[in-house]
Amino acid sequence: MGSELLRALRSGRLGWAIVISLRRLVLGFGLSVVIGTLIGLASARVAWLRPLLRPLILGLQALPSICWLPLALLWFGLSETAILFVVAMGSVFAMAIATEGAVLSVPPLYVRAARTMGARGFSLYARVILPGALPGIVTGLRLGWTFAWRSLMAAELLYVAGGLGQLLTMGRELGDMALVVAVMLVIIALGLLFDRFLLGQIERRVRTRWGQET
Amino acid sequence: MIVLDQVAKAFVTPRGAVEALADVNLTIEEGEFVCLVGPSGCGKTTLLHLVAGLEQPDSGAVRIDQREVCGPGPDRGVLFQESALFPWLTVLGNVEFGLIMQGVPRSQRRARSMAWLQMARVAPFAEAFIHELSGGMRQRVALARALALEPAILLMDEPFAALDIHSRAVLHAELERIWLETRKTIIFVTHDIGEAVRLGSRVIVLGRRPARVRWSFPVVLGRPRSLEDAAVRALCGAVGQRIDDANGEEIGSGPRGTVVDRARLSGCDLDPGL
Repeated sequence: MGSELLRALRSGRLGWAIVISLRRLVLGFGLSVVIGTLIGLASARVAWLRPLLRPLILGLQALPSICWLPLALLWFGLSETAILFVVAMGSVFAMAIATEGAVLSVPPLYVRAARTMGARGFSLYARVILPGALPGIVTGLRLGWTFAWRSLMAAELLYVAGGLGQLLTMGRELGDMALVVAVMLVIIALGLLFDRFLLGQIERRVRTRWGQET
Repeated sequence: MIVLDQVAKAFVTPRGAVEALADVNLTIEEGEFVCLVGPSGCGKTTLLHLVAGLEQPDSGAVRIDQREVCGPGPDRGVLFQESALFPWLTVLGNVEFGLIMQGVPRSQRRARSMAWLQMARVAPFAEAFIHELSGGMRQRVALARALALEPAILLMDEPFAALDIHSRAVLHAELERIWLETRKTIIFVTHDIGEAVRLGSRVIVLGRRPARVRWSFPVVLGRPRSLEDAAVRALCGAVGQRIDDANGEEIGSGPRGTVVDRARLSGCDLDPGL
């Protein structure tokens, strides 16, 4: 199996698959972070939007994101956009829910103090509300990332266009168990690398600086 | 000059409207150090928030130098019971925050902030984060942050209530020094009679909810005042009695002891060694 891993690496197939998958992950997840944060912020700060957004978010969150694939294929055709859409849908609601909770738990005292110093409008959001919510948002980031990663793998398995998922499908079709297991190990390794090391580190640093060590 | 003209304010709660203030009339001259005392929950904080512009009165008006208050502004610095410092910024960053909001150029921000940190004697901690500081230090930083905007008025809502007796005594002396140096108008809310008499140039007693101004005592004793001083203790007792009266039967129903005893009953912080 180790030799299979080496062979796949040497042929460049594995390297390419990793690059394609990670690129999709970064784009799709990045998109969901931006949109999810904005939705969460709107739901937390605009009282009349909350009863509209909340049930929608919670409802759609209950739908496994791979179920968006048929719709994505109808809308975007057999394209990269369809996969990015599925990945983004996988994590956008988790991000929105986490952001809403984090913003609602920013102590009102911070906002009050900021207002007495002249903070209003955009600067109030950029310099007080978002930084105040950051620890909660970062926790959401970790959760959202996990969802995005799973959605991506599912989408790549079903819709064959490069990436680690396709390599798995290829291994199955060739009856190459060693390749399948090798790719699975790579997927586990990448998952751990991002979750434990990258995002986990960011979360720890934010919590330390915010004085919330546990 | 701060004028509260027939100010009333109620809050809507799930159990109905609660009147916090009813017909409050109050004039505070420039440079006064006014301490507001009264039974807990009587609307002292509400009154302070109205002057800060964080709340709007239901009727009546709050005017500062003839201009009606309709929102918070940098002419009024506010200190809260908890320091309300931003944990994601350093001490220096917190003090600079207001200056950034006021559009002070970067080149001046640092020097101005450092000067106020020095005034509050926390300059060596400029690069520290808030969670690294003690409660007393945090309130010093909060004071520096409020002063950095050079407000004419300082509004303080029980700023030292959560501190231990020693830190509180030290901060009393610091605040007195800063007031004597800058001659800002200060409204200081407290439930601690000793603190009010120790610091104020005038002590105002508010009645039970809905609060009205019940009594106003000018304090003409020399500074710095000590809580062990007989004149200070006598005044504490007198203020305590007024609060008892304002409280009606609820607290005043116990046996009436000496003046000092009653002051203690009402929260006057006497030296623990006594």
